[in-house]
Order: sequence, then structure tokens, then C-alpha cells
Amino acid sequence: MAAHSETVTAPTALRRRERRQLAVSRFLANRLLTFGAVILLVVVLLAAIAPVATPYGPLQIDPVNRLKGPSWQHLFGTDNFGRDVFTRAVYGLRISVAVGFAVTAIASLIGMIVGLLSACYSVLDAIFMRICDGLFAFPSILLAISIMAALGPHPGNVVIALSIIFIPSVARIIRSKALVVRELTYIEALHAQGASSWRIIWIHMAPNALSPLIIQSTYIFAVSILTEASLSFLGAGIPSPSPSLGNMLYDGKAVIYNAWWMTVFPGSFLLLVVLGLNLFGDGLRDVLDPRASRMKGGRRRGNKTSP
Amino acid sequence: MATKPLLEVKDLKVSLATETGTVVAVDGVTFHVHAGETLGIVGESGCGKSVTAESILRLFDQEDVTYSGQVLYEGTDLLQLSDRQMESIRGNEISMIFQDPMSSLNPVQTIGKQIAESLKLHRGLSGKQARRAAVELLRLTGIPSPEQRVDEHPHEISGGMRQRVMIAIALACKPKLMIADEPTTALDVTIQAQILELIGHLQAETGMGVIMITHDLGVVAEICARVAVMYLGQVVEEAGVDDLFYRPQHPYTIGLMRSIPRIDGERNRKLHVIEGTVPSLRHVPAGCRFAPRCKYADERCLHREPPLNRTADGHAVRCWYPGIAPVEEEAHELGIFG
Repeated sequence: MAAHSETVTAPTALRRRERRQLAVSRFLANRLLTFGAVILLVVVLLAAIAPVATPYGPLQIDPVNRLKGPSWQHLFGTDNFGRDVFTRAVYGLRISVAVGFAVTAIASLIGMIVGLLSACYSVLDAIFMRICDGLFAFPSILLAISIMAALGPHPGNVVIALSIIFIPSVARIIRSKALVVRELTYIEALHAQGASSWRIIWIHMAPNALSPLIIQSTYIFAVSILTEASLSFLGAGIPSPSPSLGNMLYDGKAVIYNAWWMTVFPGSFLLLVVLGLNLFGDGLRDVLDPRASRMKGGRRRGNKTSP
Repeated sequence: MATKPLLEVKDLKVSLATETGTVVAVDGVTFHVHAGETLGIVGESGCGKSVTAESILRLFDQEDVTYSGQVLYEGTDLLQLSDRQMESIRGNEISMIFQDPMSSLNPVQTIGKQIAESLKLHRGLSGKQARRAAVELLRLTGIPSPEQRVDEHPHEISGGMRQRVMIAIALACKPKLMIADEPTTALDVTIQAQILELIGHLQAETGMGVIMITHDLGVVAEICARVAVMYLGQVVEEAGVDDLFYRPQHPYTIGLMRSIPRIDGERNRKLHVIEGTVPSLRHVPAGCRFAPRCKYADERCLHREPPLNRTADGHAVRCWYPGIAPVEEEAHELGIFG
């Protein structure tokens, strides 16, 4: 008996390990995904170790060394108050990543709840979707500025404003997928098993409706970082003197002809993190949805052959 | 037969709200099932057999459906119960198996967890106990090496295996009544026979009542004790299985039987067809609902609806002229009882 169960267990365990390896190699085989993941990893790491990455503080003023170009003392130069641009850029990156992450998490969670509830209850659907339509009707930056104006300048309020902007799009994505899932036989079978609607929605429908959100969340991450930067650039985001990529760009704008480094370096950081997220998202979609990747691969190959 | 039936459906009427208006999908259906008995419900697509089954468990969205009549389960009318009370009936007292095993299981949960679901819901078992019970249920339904299977996902097992898992789920709480909605339609023939055998075997063991919904008269002949033939939302004939196959009375039932191809028949002989199609539920014929497709219909059939007449031996027919159509060949010659 023992021998029998061993012979049965061995191949299953093997299969499971093989499957995990297969999944890992499939992810690694996608160059977009790997490249994006590496960029993201570097950025997040840099943001995480910001306090030890530089000898300067983000608010440390050095009036003697104002507007100095890149050097070994100040890799990215100094700004008009003599603050180290590299330090400020790294701290700005930290805030950007934190805001992006918080917004993605909050918008995904609330959007998922709203989407699932609207898919399952027609009364809630009518209410929630009209509110979403209302929010969609505003240009997002304008909406964010007005929310910031109402709440006051604070990093926490930036997160709230951006979350409000992204909840409707998450809710719509989840709702449309949940409407499909709701009609599948296994949901009906669960009703026939005596599961309550509440249990069916949160335990069975939620994981099945989640797949489009995984890719969407990388997009939300990237766009919320960009929007936060725009808000700060416009003076409605992270308030000075706290560093943020957006308000650094604003500070640099005034002296762009004399001190290019004040604009170029924060700008490239912003570019890097958004590029990393987009590559990661594209790669993720290619890996998770093979049909879309084949189409895209074909197009890419087509482009290469044409001169 | 003197005992009280397990389930008694009395004059059930189900109206469904659709985008283009309300349709009466089931209109005055009456039947009963005793414990340990198998009732077959037969009919073409769209005759209301699945709607009847789902109405017993009240599976439709409340906003879309209006029920009238009675569904008496051990004397209580299921149509009058609160939603909470109904939840404790579903899967516990009455369970259901669906047609397509490919889409009846949650793709992101292991099959063990899905079997454990109703045990956790109704019996309050812990995760570990439920898992052990799930393994036992898988063994009971004849799945090899259940200890390994219990942790697999639905995509890792075959269609026949999935239907066995569905049966394991349906049996988990030892229900007194099982409704099987075309459980073998999506499976190939050898698996079909195995699944039917399994259901029959489990029924003999547990003494539960079974309602077998199918369009396959072969399945009916094989496992049912009594049969109700449905047409356009009504029961048109109901009788014991032998009685129905040897002495069918309704022209529709006879037509259904004649359209089974014969294995020993002439190869070139044309298959019998019932002319026309089932009319839309939006345009229900005025008199007998089958009259427009019935060769023997006369003025009376076209204008007056026949009642369901029950004879002393329990054979019920909804026809003005029962037995008018010739049963060209005896049922046993059809190879049904082969």
C-alpha cells in the first residue's frame, strides 16, 4: 500500500515542480517582461534605500554651491538652493512609487468591490454606473486639481484624488467581466449548492473576474505616477519643499537654459519608471493572454521586414 | 404508492421576464416523485423541462420570475420559503447536476475545495474534515487515486471525471432528492452509460428520489420508473415507464418514439420526423398546444385545450383523442428495451 501511494505521489510532485519551472521560464522568455521587471526592480530598490544612497538630505541647503553642474560631489548637480538634485530625485522617486502603489491598491480594491456589486445588483448598478459616468465626464487632471483644491495640499490627499479618478475605470472593467462570469454554469451550480449570494460574489466570482485587472493595474500604476507628477508640476500635488519629480521639474523650468540638469535628471527618472511599468504591463499581457501576443508578435515582425 | 410523495409539484406556472416581454415558460405542470423513485422528464429543447427543474430550487433571479402553484417538498411549499430557508434546502435536501460538466466547475478552485463547499455550508465541517469527506466522495463516485485528484483543478481532469465530481458535489450532504438536468448529454456514449449506472447505483444505496431531465428516450427507458413527457411548458403525458413505451397515448409521445432510428431497421428508410418546430412561447396555440403539428387534429383540437385526464392505472394524457395515432411498431421492437 505504501509503495503504491509512493508511486502515485512521485509523478504528481514532479509534475508540480515542472509546472512551476515552466511558468518561470515562460515569464523569463518574454524579453519585454524581463526588461520591464529589471527596470522596476532597480527603481524600487533605489527608492527603498534612498536615505543610504546619498550623503545629503533632500532638504539640505548649501547656499555656496547653488546651480552647480554634475560633478563627483553632486552627480546630478545642485539646484537653485544648493540642494543635491540626485538626492531629491531619488526621494521624489520614492514618493512617486509610494503614491503609485497606494493609488493602484486603493483603486483596485474599491473598483473591484463596486464592479462586482454593480454586476450582481441592478439597483446598485444604476447608482454606481451613473456616478462613474459623471466622474468620466471630467478631464482627469482637472478633476484631480479640483479635488486637491477642496482637500488641501498633502501627499495623502494626492492619493485620495488619484484613487477617485481611477476607481471608475477599474469598476467598469471588473463589472464587464463579472457580468460574463455571473452567467456561467458554475455560478448557477453554486446557487444550487446552497451558497449565499454574498459568498458566491466574494469567494467565487471575484477571483474569476480579476484577470483583466492584473494588466490594467500596471497601467494605473504608470498613469497615476504621471498624473501625480503633472499635479505637482502644476502646484496642486506634493507641496514644496518636499521633493517630487513633478515639482522638481517645475523648479527646473525657470532655469532650464542655465541649469539643464535640474530638468533632465528628474525627467529621465520619470521616463524610466513609466517605461519600466509599461514594458512590464505589455510583457505581462503577452504572457497571460497568448492570443493577444500572437497578434502583436505578427505585427511587430511585419514592421521589421518593411524598410 | 400510498405513502406521501417526497416532492409534489402542483399546477406550477413560471413566468419569466425577458427583454421583449414576459413568457410563460411552464404552464400548469403537475407531477410527483417518491423517495427512491426516478422520474424522467422528457421533451424537445425549449419545452420547459429545465425551467421546471430550476424552478423547484428557485434558481432564477427574483426580479425576472413569477411563480404560481405549489412545489411541496415533504409537505412544505418551497415557493413560500424565505431566501435563507431556501439556501438551507439547496444542496442539502435537494441537489442538482447540470448538463455541461466543462463549465459547471469553478476553474480557479481545486475540485476538493468545491466538493467541500456544501459540506462547509450545510454541515459546518472544518476545512480538514471537509477535505477528508471530499476524498471519500471522490472514491464513492469511482475516481481513481482520489487523494491526488482532490488537489487538482478542473482543467486537469476529463469531462466524464468532471461529471463524477459534479455528482460528488451533489451527493455531499446526502440529499433526499437529486435533480439531474441532462447529466449525460455532453458526454460520449460509453461515459454516459457509466454515469447513469453510477447515479442508479448511488440512488439504490441512499434511497434518494431522482428527477432525470433528458431528451434521450434511451436514458429514460434505462433508469426511470415513471416518465412525464413535456411539450411547450405542459405535461402532455405521464405514465409508468413500461406503460408509456408499450401504450403511448399522446400523438406527440408516439411521434417522439417513432423518431428514434432503429438499429435493425432498413438502412434506406427515412427517419420519422414530427413536422414543424416547437412554436415560440410568445405565440402559444389557442387550443391543444400540439394541434398545429398533429396529423390527427380537428376543429375541437384547434379551439379547445384538452385537460390532463388521468385513468385509473395512473396513466395521464392531455389529448382529446388519446391513442388515435397508430403505434406502428411495438416499443420492444424499437430496441429501446434491448
